[in-house]
Amino acid sequence: MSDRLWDQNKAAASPRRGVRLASTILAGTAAAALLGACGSAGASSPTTAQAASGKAKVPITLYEAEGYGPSVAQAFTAKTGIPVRVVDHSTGTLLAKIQAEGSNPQWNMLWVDGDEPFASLDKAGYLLKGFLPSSGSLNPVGRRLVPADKSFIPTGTTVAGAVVYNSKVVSSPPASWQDLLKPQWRGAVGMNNPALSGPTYPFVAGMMQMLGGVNPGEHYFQSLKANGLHVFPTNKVTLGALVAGTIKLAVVQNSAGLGFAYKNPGLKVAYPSKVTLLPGILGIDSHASATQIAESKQFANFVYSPQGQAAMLAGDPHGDSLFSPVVTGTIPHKAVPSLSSLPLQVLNPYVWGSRESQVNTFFTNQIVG
Amino acid sequence: MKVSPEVKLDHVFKRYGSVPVLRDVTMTVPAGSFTVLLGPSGSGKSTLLRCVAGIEQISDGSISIGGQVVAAKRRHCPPERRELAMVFQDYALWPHMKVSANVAFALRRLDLSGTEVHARVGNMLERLGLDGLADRYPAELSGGQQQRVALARALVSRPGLILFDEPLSNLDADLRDRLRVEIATLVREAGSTALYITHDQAEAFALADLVGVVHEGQLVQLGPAEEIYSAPKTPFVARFTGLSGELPAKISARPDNGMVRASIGDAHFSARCHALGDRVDPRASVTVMVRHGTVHIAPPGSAEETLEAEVIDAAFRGRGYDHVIQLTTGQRMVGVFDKRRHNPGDRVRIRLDPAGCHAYFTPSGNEAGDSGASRSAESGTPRPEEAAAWPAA
Amino acid sequence: MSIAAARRIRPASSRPFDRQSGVVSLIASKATVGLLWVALGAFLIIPTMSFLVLAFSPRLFGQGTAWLTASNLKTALGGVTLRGMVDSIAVSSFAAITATAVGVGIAWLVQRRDLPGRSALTFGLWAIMIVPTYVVGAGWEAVLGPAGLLRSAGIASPALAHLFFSGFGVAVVLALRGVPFAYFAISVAMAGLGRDVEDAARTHGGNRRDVARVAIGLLAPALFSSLVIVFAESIGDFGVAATIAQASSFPVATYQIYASISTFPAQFGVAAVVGWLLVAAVALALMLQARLTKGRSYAVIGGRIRPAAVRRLGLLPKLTATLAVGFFFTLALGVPVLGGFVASLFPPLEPLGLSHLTLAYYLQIPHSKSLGGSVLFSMRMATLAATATVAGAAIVARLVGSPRAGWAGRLVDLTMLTAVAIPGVVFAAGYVFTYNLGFWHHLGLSLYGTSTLLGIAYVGAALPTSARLLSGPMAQLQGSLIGAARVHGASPISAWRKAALPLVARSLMWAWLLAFSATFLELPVSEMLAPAGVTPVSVAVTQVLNKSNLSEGAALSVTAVLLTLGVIAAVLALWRVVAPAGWRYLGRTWWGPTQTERLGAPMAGERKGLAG
Repeated sequence: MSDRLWDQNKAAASPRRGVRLASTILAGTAAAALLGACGSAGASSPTTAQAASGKAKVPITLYEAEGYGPSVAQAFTAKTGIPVRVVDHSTGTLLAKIQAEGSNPQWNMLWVDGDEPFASLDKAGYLLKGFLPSSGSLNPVGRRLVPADKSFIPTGTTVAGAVVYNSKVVSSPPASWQDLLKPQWRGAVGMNNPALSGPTYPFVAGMMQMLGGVNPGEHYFQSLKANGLHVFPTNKVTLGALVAGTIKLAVVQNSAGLGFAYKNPGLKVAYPSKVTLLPGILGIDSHASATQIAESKQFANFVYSPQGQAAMLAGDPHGDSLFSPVVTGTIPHKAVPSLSSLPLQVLNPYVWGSRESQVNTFFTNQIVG
Repeated sequence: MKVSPEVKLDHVFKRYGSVPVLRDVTMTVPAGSFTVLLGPSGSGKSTLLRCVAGIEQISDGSISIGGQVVAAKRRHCPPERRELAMVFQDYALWPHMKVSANVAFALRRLDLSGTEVHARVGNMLERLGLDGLADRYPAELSGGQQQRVALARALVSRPGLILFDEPLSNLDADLRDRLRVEIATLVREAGSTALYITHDQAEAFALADLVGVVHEGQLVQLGPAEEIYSAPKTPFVARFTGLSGELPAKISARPDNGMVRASIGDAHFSARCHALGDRVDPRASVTVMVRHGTVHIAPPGSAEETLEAEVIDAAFRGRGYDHVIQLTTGQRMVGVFDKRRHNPGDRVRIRLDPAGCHAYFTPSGNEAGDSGASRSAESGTPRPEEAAAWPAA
Repeated sequence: MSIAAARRIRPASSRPFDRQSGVVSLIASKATVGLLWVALGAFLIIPTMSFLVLAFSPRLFGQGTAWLTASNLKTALGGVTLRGMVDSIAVSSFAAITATAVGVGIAWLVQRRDLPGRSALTFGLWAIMIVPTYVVGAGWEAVLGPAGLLRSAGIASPALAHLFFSGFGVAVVLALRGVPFAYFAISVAMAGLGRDVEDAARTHGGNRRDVARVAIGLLAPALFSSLVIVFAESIGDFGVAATIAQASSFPVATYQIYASISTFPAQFGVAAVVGWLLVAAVALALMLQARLTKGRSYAVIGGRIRPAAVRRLGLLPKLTATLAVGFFFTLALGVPVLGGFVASLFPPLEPLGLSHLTLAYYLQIPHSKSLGGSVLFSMRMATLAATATVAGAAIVARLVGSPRAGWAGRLVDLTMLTAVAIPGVVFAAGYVFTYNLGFWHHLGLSLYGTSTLLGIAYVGAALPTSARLLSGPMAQLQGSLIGAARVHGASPISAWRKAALPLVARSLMWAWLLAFSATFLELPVSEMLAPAGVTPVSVAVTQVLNKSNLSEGAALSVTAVLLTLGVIAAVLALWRVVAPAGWRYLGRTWWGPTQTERLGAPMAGERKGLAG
């Protein structure tokens, strides 16, 4: 390798012939690239959130899909000096990564919407049990979201399926989910495919729970299909179809609807009875080193602190920051309805988490197809 | 001027995977000689040349140039250090270099000054009638000009050894003759050792001090052109160096002084028996290979030592006529020359010149002239049954 | 590298014939091939295989309890997954046939008729290959989608939208994307066809149709390889699957893979079975090709083929041809580009009007957090990966194209082509399985989660296509050119540099650009393998699209594509300045009138691997 580099320098230094120069550049870049690749291994360690204080601390890795995640991590690092390596992808990608990493996990904390995956991770023994931050106290809804073994931590909540409508077109939105089966809404309802859109499964599962089980739930969605249900892949497309007028009612996660309403003032969000909560959850990997677990606990405590809550509210003001707080004393954004005013239900993630692939397969095969 | 080296091949084998391409080739190309390897396509001659050049590595045996071993089993001197030059069949001019750059490339290893390079290239191009084309790209030249550039590139560094890989095969006949003469002149002038391969026997005989005939990966015969022509060792060599026709015959008398009597039906004639060896049985089946130009149409009335035939075709050749004739036994002879024209359908008698007739054993169970039979015929093995009964001469 | 090593070991001896050097160079050449296999094994075959093995043995990678199971097969072969496979085969076959037909047409117009703007056409074809399919799909959605341009302009046609958002739309977009691949496969063979065969057919009384029949017969091997490569590219495509197919609820296999992986717990096993099916589909296509082209071989371009004359078109035919080609480019490039611009320049869901035109979304870009870092990171990775890819692809192409490649070459060729059909998600997941195994940590080789592994995966993902693209030009390199240089005193490196590199430099450059842009905008591998704290451009774009503003996301996509095009333009400009006259001369005349595309021709090497 060094030979070649030497060649390259020599050729570059001698202005003799263009041919030689150009050909050496082509041949030389290969060598340079290989050298560069070796160098880049070392260069890959720096982090977005650099340690603020002088003492070197062990970095912790946060897998997160929350719009405010990076801001909170940054604020945390600024306060504690603990560097946080943020891996920011969609929930699906993060879970796939975690699952693929298997018994050799690379994450210390996972922070995404929905508690079902955490129930599965808990059952598989991934999660640190028995810990709840002490820097803030939970409101009643928040307390309902904590599992018995305290293996994961609710940090806020949204509503899995709310009805978004264009108030210029629709004057009276449906008050119950059964209303959607009426001829009035024939061909007018759109929702996401739960197999492709993470936040949609809790909605589907919630409907099933509300209706008394998987079978009545399946029947409901079949009726909905018979009434001309549109199924889109993600929030973006479903809401796009709503604004374009293809559909009149979009059943999506309420924070997404609220975010869209910011830019499209005509849009409103309705909450038929009952709506299912979709909490933001933080989980800590139990396999990590003692230091990293301690630091992760520090992070969780920061999230529950007023400073952390403020960072959550500020991080993604037109998206995920539109959550309903579960920590007492935190004041949500104006557009977010108070939890106590909603006809809500909470799913048992340990029951419904294990049914996810079965339900999604049903949905993809029977409702989409 | 470098000393022209001798090239020696010693039991050289070359295999591609399990396919043998060269089989036990041993030969010496004398220093300063012009040696031509002649063989049909696929015979391995090109591979042999590439092994000498160092572009291919040999599987076994050894090759030495000027007394230095350049190739042996698990040893390979790369081509750039063999100090030779080569002319390729497809010219192998670098399309992105101008003519001058193509030629100058071969001078790089001499470490000459720029003016010297320029002068030598200019000289060489002029010598080959390429002056004025130095700034062209190869694609802007005709085929003949391209091959001249390739020749210039090979000669410009005055190498001791020059290899030619069918350099003329892509040219038309007229150009081929002219360039052949130029090659001969230039190489002799330079005094270089030349190893030249071709499938064209006329080209080989015209150029060569020594001709080697290659067949199926083996060097079948190596010698002066005259020897190859007058005493071909095997039917293949005979066939490949120009025949009028082949006749199946029987030995009818004991060999004498290199000649043997043979008969077709009741017609008798003499043939050279250098390939038959010592033990020849009476009545043994042989194939007689008849050289071009040694079949004559006998004057009317002569019956002795003649064979009866019918004229099939007559072609005017300026000095006379080339005829195709068919013997009453069915064999055809081509290129039968006579000053007089004999019309198709005419009955004639032909006489064979014994110097142009070469007898070889016909392998048992095979038709004479069957190409599949040639290998066993080449070996010259006598027929197994040994009989003592020769008719009295 | 090995050659350089050989050079170093050799003592500076003045002896003409050095006993050592032969052995060393022999070992060196063997070592190169060996090293190639090790690299292919480690970075392409093993990761892919480890994912595929999961289909039947989830426990092997800690993904389940069973060492051996057929349950994934059962799941995958039922219902929508099977339908996805059938759909995939159908649209890919359609795409392959359509793209090949269009490719033949364009190649013929370019080589045999004086179509105006022929060199721009080559550039356009490269551009089609370079824009990633998810950008293309998103562009179409932005034009025809429910909230698209046509609707904003008030000229939405529900019938057109209905037609487009279906299997038909998916197939058409895949076909458009396949045309460059088809074109490059065919144009080499067409150039090699020469005029003589045509003239022969004419003089023997053939009419135009007979001539075409003769020509097509001669082109058959090229046509088959065009069909196979477009089929493989289409069936493994993820971008169109994730956009148009998804939006039209038209399940295709690649998206089934994504869906199986993105539910929790992810059904890696099911995804693996679909992966197997994709591989099987391509293998089947290859077998079919081998059977149909048995005993035929390509006309190889040599110095002696009489180049076909470029004939003048009459005014009307010329106009028609220009319009047809223009229409093709409008569909293949114009619509997606327009979609991207419109989505990024106008606020969504407003009536279209100049008053709404805004650069706001572009102006936001510099303020986006760490986007500059993303661009720099991806630029660096793409540069390194493209360079390594092209170097590796050149070696692979040379190996495959060598007349003595034998079964090893054939195997590499097969591996490469099948790898084209493996979607990036599968590939990336395979990397996680392979390189996150505990035993690497015990060896002290913790590659997972480093930029190095990401870079290697980029190379692995780009290599198959790159090798295909280079196999044509590499196979055309006459060995005698290098041999002649060696014989006349050039060392192996010097011979390669002086006699071979100039001839393939342009192809290498184009292959580099393609690998660069594919890597710069690569999504699935980036998502799965980017180290913590680093955000490749494509991931940054996706994050914006997922979480925030559609328009800002579109602006980012357009910016990313423009950045890529900027790099391409810069490299092309650099080429003009730096490349010696002789190199550029080659581009002008050596391989006939439209050399660039022939130099960039893929797949002539296929004959070795598959035809025999």
